[in-house]
Amino acid sequence: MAGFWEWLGNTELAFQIGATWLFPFVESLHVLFVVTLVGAILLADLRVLGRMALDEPLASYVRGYVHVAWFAFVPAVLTGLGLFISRPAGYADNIAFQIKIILLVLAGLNVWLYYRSEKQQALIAQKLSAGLSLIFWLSAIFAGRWVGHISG
Amino acid sequence: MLDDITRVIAQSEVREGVIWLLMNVPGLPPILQSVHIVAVAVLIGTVGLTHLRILRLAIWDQSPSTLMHRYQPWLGWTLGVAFLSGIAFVIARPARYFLNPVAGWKLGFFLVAIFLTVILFRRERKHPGAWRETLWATRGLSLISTLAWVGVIFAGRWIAYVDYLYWDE
Repeated sequence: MAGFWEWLGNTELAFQIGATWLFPFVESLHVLFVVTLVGAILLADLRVLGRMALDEPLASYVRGYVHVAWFAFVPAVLTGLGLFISRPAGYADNIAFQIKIILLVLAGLNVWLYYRSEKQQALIAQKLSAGLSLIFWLSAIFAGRWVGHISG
Repeated sequence: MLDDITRVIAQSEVREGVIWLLMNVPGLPPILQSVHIVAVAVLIGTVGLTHLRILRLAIWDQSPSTLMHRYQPWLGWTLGVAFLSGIAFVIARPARYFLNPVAGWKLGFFLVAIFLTVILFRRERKHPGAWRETLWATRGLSLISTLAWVGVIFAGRWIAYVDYLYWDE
Protein backbone atom coordinates (compact mmCIF):
# COMPACT_ATOMS: atom_id res chain seq x y z
CA MET A 1 0.00 0.00 0.00
CA ALA A 2 2.93 2.33 0.77
CA GLY A 3 4.00 2.18 -2.88
CA PHE A 4 0.54 3.19 -4.04
CA TRP A 5 0.40 6.13 -1.64
CA GLU A 6 3.83 7.23 -2.86
CA TRP A 7 2.75 7.03 -6.49
CA LEU A 8 -0.49 8.87 -5.72
CA GLY A 9 1.34 11.60 -3.82
CA ASN A 10 3.72 12.11 -6.75
CA THR A 11 1.04 12.65 -9.40
CA GLU A 12 0.80 16.07 -11.03
CA LEU A 13 -2.64 16.68 -9.50
CA ALA A 14 -1.36 15.86 -6.01
CA PHE A 15 1.54 18.24 -6.51
CA GLN A 16 -0.70 21.02 -7.81
CA ILE A 17 -3.06 20.71 -4.83
CA GLY A 18 -0.38 20.26 -2.21
CA ALA A 19 2.02 22.97 -3.29
CA THR A 20 -0.19 25.78 -4.56
CA TRP A 21 -3.15 27.95 -3.58
CA LEU A 22 -5.36 25.04 -4.66
CA PHE A 23 -4.97 23.43 -1.23
CA PRO A 24 -6.69 26.21 0.76
CA PHE A 25 -9.23 26.61 -2.06
CA VAL A 26 -10.16 22.91 -2.05
CA GLU A 27 -10.12 22.92 1.76
CA SER A 28 -12.51 25.88 1.85
CA LEU A 29 -14.87 24.08 -0.51
CA HIS A 30 -14.58 20.96 1.68
CA VAL A 31 -15.54 22.93 4.79
CA LEU A 32 -18.43 24.62 2.95
CA PHE A 33 -19.92 21.31 1.80
CA VAL A 34 -19.24 19.53 5.12
CA VAL A 35 -21.01 22.20 7.20
CA THR A 36 -23.93 22.14 4.73
CA LEU A 37 -24.06 18.34 4.91
CA VAL A 38 -23.81 18.15 8.69
CA GLY A 39 -26.15 21.10 9.22
CA ALA A 40 -28.85 19.41 7.14
CA ILE A 41 -28.32 16.03 8.83
CA LEU A 42 -28.45 17.52 12.34
CA LEU A 43 -31.80 19.18 11.64
CA ALA A 44 -33.22 15.99 10.15
CA ASP A 45 -31.96 13.93 13.11
CA LEU A 46 -33.42 16.34 15.67
CA ARG A 47 -36.80 16.13 13.94
CA VAL A 48 -36.72 12.31 13.94
CA LEU A 49 -35.82 12.41 17.63
CA GLY A 50 -38.88 14.59 18.24
CA ARG A 51 -36.85 17.60 19.42
CA MET A 52 -38.11 20.18 16.90
CA ALA A 53 -40.58 21.05 14.11
CA LEU A 54 -43.20 18.61 15.41
CA ASP A 55 -45.85 20.51 13.43
CA GLU A 56 -44.22 19.27 10.20
CA PRO A 57 -44.94 15.78 8.78
CA LEU A 58 -41.89 13.64 9.52
CA ALA A 59 -41.36 12.11 6.08
CA SER A 60 -41.57 15.30 4.01
CA TYR A 61 -39.52 17.27 6.55
CA VAL A 62 -36.70 14.71 6.57
CA ARG A 63 -36.84 14.38 2.77
CA GLY A 64 -36.12 18.09 2.31
CA TYR A 65 -32.99 18.00 4.46
CA VAL A 66 -31.81 14.64 3.10
CA HIS A 67 -31.91 16.12 -0.43
CA VAL A 68 -29.58 18.88 0.74
CA ALA A 69 -27.35 16.37 2.52
CA TRP A 70 -26.95 14.23 -0.61
CA PHE A 71 -26.30 17.31 -2.72
CA ALA A 72 -23.51 18.37 -0.34
CA PHE A 73 -22.17 14.83 0.24
CA VAL A 74 -20.79 14.23 -3.26
CA PRO A 75 -18.67 17.42 -3.50
CA ALA A 76 -17.64 16.96 0.16
CA VAL A 77 -16.21 13.53 -0.73
CA LEU A 78 -14.57 14.79 -3.95
CA THR A 79 -12.90 17.73 -2.20
CA GLY A 80 -11.91 15.42 0.66
CA LEU A 81 -10.22 13.12 -1.87
CA GLY A 82 -8.49 16.14 -3.36
CA LEU A 83 -7.04 17.02 0.04
CA PHE A 84 -6.13 13.37 0.71
CA ILE A 85 -4.06 12.89 -2.45
CA SER A 86 -1.93 15.92 -1.59
CA ARG A 87 -0.34 13.85 1.23
CA PRO A 88 -1.80 10.32 1.04
CA ALA A 89 0.79 8.47 3.12
CA GLY A 90 0.64 11.09 5.89
CA TYR A 91 -3.15 10.92 6.08
CA ALA A 92 -3.31 7.13 5.81
CA ASP A 93 -0.95 6.83 8.80
CA ASN A 94 -2.82 9.44 10.83
CA ILE A 95 -4.91 7.73 13.55
CA ALA A 96 -7.43 10.60 13.65
CA PHE A 97 -7.93 10.28 9.88
CA GLN A 98 -8.41 6.52 10.19
CA ILE A 99 -11.03 7.06 12.93
CA LYS A 100 -12.74 9.69 10.75
CA ILE A 101 -13.02 7.25 7.83
CA ILE A 102 -14.40 4.51 10.14
CA LEU A 103 -16.99 6.98 11.49
CA LEU A 104 -18.01 7.96 7.96
CA VAL A 105 -18.45 4.29 7.01
CA LEU A 106 -20.56 3.76 10.14
CA ALA A 107 -22.60 6.86 9.26
CA GLY A 108 -23.16 5.39 5.80
CA LEU A 109 -24.32 2.04 7.21
CA ASN A 110 -26.57 3.98 9.56
CA VAL A 111 -28.31 5.63 6.60
CA TRP A 112 -29.18 2.12 5.39
CA LEU A 113 -30.55 1.34 8.90
CA TYR A 114 -32.67 4.50 8.80
CA TYR A 115 -34.22 3.75 5.41
CA ARG A 116 -34.88 0.14 6.43
CA SER A 117 -36.62 1.22 9.65
CA GLU A 118 -38.56 3.92 7.78
CA LYS A 119 -39.78 1.32 5.29
CA GLN A 120 -40.96 -0.89 8.16
CA GLN A 121 -42.40 2.16 9.97
CA ALA A 122 -40.38 1.25 13.05
CA LEU A 123 -40.21 4.64 14.79
CA ILE A 124 -38.02 3.45 17.66
CA ALA A 125 -35.44 2.13 15.20
CA GLN A 126 -35.65 5.41 13.28
CA LYS A 127 -34.95 7.32 16.49
CA LEU A 128 -32.08 5.03 17.35
CA SER A 129 -30.65 5.63 13.88
CA ALA A 130 -31.04 9.41 14.25
CA GLY A 131 -29.25 9.30 17.61
CA LEU A 132 -26.41 7.25 16.13
CA SER A 133 -26.26 9.64 13.19
CA LEU A 134 -25.71 12.59 15.54
CA ILE A 135 -22.94 10.70 17.35
CA PHE A 136 -21.21 9.57 14.13
CA TRP A 137 -21.27 12.93 12.36
CA LEU A 138 -20.28 15.05 15.36
CA SER A 139 -17.47 12.59 16.13
CA ALA A 140 -16.37 12.68 12.48
CA ILE A 141 -16.07 16.47 12.67
CA PHE A 142 -14.02 16.16 15.85
CA ALA A 143 -11.77 13.50 14.28
CA GLY A 144 -11.43 15.65 11.15
CA ARG A 145 -10.20 18.60 13.18
CA TRP A 146 -7.87 16.34 15.16
CA VAL A 147 -6.16 15.22 11.92
CA GLY A 148 -4.37 18.56 11.72
CA HIS A 149 -3.13 18.29 15.30
CA ILE A 150 -1.29 15.01 14.73
CA SER A 151 1.92 15.18 12.76
CA GLY A 152 2.19 12.35 10.28
CA MET B 1 -5.77 51.33 16.27
CA LEU B 2 -5.57 47.62 15.40
CA ASP B 3 -1.89 47.71 16.38
CA ASP B 4 -2.88 49.08 19.79
CA ILE B 5 -5.58 46.44 20.31
CA THR B 6 -3.14 43.72 19.28
CA ARG B 7 -0.50 45.03 21.69
CA VAL B 8 -2.94 45.33 24.61
CA ILE B 9 -4.17 41.76 24.12
CA ALA B 10 -0.66 40.42 23.52
CA GLN B 11 0.54 41.89 26.82
CA SER B 12 -2.53 40.94 28.86
CA GLU B 13 -2.70 38.30 31.55
CA VAL B 14 -5.88 36.99 29.94
CA ARG B 15 -3.80 35.95 26.94
CA GLU B 16 -1.34 34.13 29.15
CA GLY B 17 -4.23 32.29 30.81
CA VAL B 18 -5.81 31.35 27.49
CA ILE B 19 -2.48 30.10 26.10
CA TRP B 20 -1.93 28.07 29.25
CA LEU B 21 -5.38 26.48 28.84
CA LEU B 22 -4.85 25.75 25.13
CA MET B 23 -1.50 24.12 25.82
CA ASN B 24 -2.36 22.22 29.00
CA VAL B 25 -5.96 21.05 28.68
CA PRO B 26 -5.71 17.83 26.64
CA GLY B 27 -7.40 18.20 23.26
CA LEU B 28 -8.78 21.68 23.92
CA PRO B 29 -7.76 23.27 20.56
CA PRO B 30 -9.45 20.63 18.34
CA ILE B 31 -12.43 20.50 20.73
CA LEU B 32 -12.97 24.27 20.43
CA GLN B 33 -12.44 24.14 16.66
CA SER B 34 -14.95 21.29 16.37
CA VAL B 35 -17.52 23.20 18.43
CA HIS B 36 -16.93 26.20 16.15
CA ILE B 37 -17.49 24.08 13.03
CA VAL B 38 -20.66 22.51 14.48
CA ALA B 39 -22.01 25.98 15.34
CA VAL B 40 -21.30 27.06 11.74
CA ALA B 41 -23.00 23.88 10.49
CA VAL B 42 -26.11 24.70 12.54
CA LEU B 43 -26.04 28.27 11.17
CA ILE B 44 -25.87 26.97 7.60
CA GLY B 45 -28.54 24.32 8.29
CA THR B 46 -30.93 26.89 9.71
CA VAL B 47 -30.16 30.32 8.24
CA GLY B 48 -28.33 29.21 5.09
CA LEU B 49 -30.95 26.69 4.02
CA THR B 50 -33.73 29.19 4.77
CA HIS B 51 -32.08 31.56 2.30
CA LEU B 52 -31.84 28.70 -0.21
CA ARG B 53 -35.56 28.02 0.35
CA ILE B 54 -36.36 31.66 -0.37
CA LEU B 55 -34.34 31.22 -3.58
CA ARG B 56 -36.35 28.03 -4.33
CA LEU B 57 -33.19 25.91 -4.28
CA ALA B 58 -33.94 23.64 -1.27
CA ILE B 59 -36.50 22.57 1.40
CA TRP B 60 -39.43 22.98 -0.99
CA ASP B 61 -41.93 21.32 1.37
CA GLN B 62 -41.76 24.09 3.96
CA SER B 63 -42.64 27.76 3.59
CA PRO B 64 -39.93 30.41 4.08
CA SER B 65 -42.19 32.03 6.67
CA THR B 66 -42.27 28.84 8.76
CA LEU B 67 -38.51 28.42 8.50
CA MET B 68 -37.80 32.03 9.49
CA HIS B 69 -40.13 31.82 12.49
CA ARG B 70 -38.66 28.49 13.58
CA TYR B 71 -35.01 29.38 13.25
CA GLN B 72 -34.84 32.99 14.39
CA PRO B 73 -34.45 31.93 18.06
CA TRP B 74 -31.56 29.65 17.02
CA LEU B 75 -29.59 32.56 15.58
CA GLY B 76 -28.53 34.08 18.90
CA TRP B 77 -27.24 30.97 20.60
CA THR B 78 -25.46 29.53 17.57
CA LEU B 79 -23.68 32.85 17.02
CA GLY B 80 -22.83 32.91 20.73
CA VAL B 81 -21.35 29.41 20.60
CA ALA B 82 -19.42 30.25 17.42
CA PHE B 83 -18.05 33.42 19.03
CA LEU B 84 -17.07 31.78 22.32
CA SER B 85 -15.40 28.82 20.59
CA GLY B 86 -13.41 31.12 18.31
CA ILE B 87 -12.43 33.91 20.69
CA ALA B 88 -9.82 31.83 22.54
CA PHE B 89 -7.69 31.61 19.37
CA VAL B 90 -8.03 35.35 18.74
CA ILE B 91 -6.87 36.13 22.28
CA ALA B 92 -4.03 33.61 22.05
CA ARG B 93 -2.71 34.96 18.74
CA PRO B 94 -4.06 38.52 18.32
CA ALA B 95 -1.64 39.51 15.54
CA ARG B 96 -2.82 36.57 13.44
CA TYR B 97 -6.32 38.06 13.41
CA PHE B 98 -6.16 41.81 14.03
CA LEU B 99 -3.28 42.36 11.60
CA ASN B 100 -4.53 39.88 9.03
CA PRO B 101 -6.49 41.38 6.10
CA VAL B 102 -8.31 38.06 5.51
CA ALA B 103 -9.71 38.22 9.07
CA GLY B 104 -11.02 41.67 8.11
CA TRP B 105 -12.68 40.10 5.07
CA LYS B 106 -14.28 37.49 7.33
CA LEU B 107 -15.65 40.18 9.62
CA GLY B 108 -16.92 42.18 6.64
CA PHE B 109 -18.68 39.19 5.09
CA PHE B 110 -20.12 38.29 8.48
CA LEU B 111 -21.54 41.78 9.08
CA VAL B 112 -23.24 41.78 5.67
CA ALA B 113 -24.58 38.22 6.15
CA ILE B 114 -25.91 38.74 9.66
CA PHE B 115 -27.35 42.21 8.92
CA LEU B 116 -29.39 40.93 5.95
CA THR B 117 -30.41 37.77 7.79
CA VAL B 118 -31.68 39.69 10.83
CA ILE B 119 -33.50 42.20 8.60
CA LEU B 120 -35.32 39.43 6.71
CA PHE B 121 -36.11 37.28 9.76
CA ARG B 122 -37.33 40.18 11.94
CA ARG B 123 -39.48 41.61 9.17
CA GLU B 124 -41.11 38.22 8.65
CA ARG B 125 -41.74 37.94 12.39
CA LYS B 126 -43.46 41.34 12.51
CA HIS B 127 -45.31 40.95 9.21
CA PRO B 128 -45.92 37.26 8.43
CA GLY B 129 -45.94 36.73 4.66
CA ALA B 130 -43.83 39.84 3.99
CA TRP B 131 -41.33 37.71 2.04
CA ARG B 132 -44.02 36.94 -0.54
CA GLU B 133 -45.19 40.56 -0.86
CA THR B 134 -41.68 41.69 -1.78
CA LEU B 135 -40.58 38.45 -3.39
CA TRP B 136 -37.81 39.64 -5.68
CA ALA B 137 -36.33 42.07 -3.17
CA THR B 138 -36.37 39.29 -0.57
CA ARG B 139 -34.70 36.91 -3.02
CA GLY B 140 -32.08 39.50 -3.88
CA LEU B 141 -31.23 40.06 -0.21
CA SER B 142 -31.21 36.30 0.39
CA LEU B 143 -28.82 35.78 -2.51
CA ILE B 144 -26.44 38.46 -1.19
CA SER B 145 -26.67 37.03 2.32
CA THR B 146 -26.02 33.48 1.05
CA LEU B 147 -22.92 34.62 -0.84
CA ALA B 148 -21.76 36.53 2.24
CA TRP B 149 -22.13 33.40 4.43
CA VAL B 150 -20.06 31.49 1.85
CA GLY B 151 -17.55 34.34 2.06
CA VAL B 152 -17.42 33.97 5.86
CA ILE B 153 -16.56 30.27 5.50
CA PHE B 154 -13.95 30.85 2.79
CA ALA B 155 -12.31 33.77 4.61
CA GLY B 156 -12.34 31.72 7.83
CA ARG B 157 -10.19 29.07 6.17
CA TRP B 158 -7.95 31.53 4.30
CA ILE B 159 -6.95 33.31 7.52
CA ALA B 160 -4.36 30.57 7.86
CA TYR B 161 -3.22 30.97 4.24
CA VAL B 162 -2.92 34.74 4.05
CA ASP B 163 0.53 34.44 2.45
CA TYR B 164 -1.04 33.12 -0.76
CA LEU B 165 -3.05 36.34 -1.09
CA TYR B 166 -0.69 38.95 0.35
CA TRP B 167 2.62 37.22 -0.30
CA ASP B 168 4.61 40.36 -1.11
CA GLU B 169 3.68 42.30 2.03
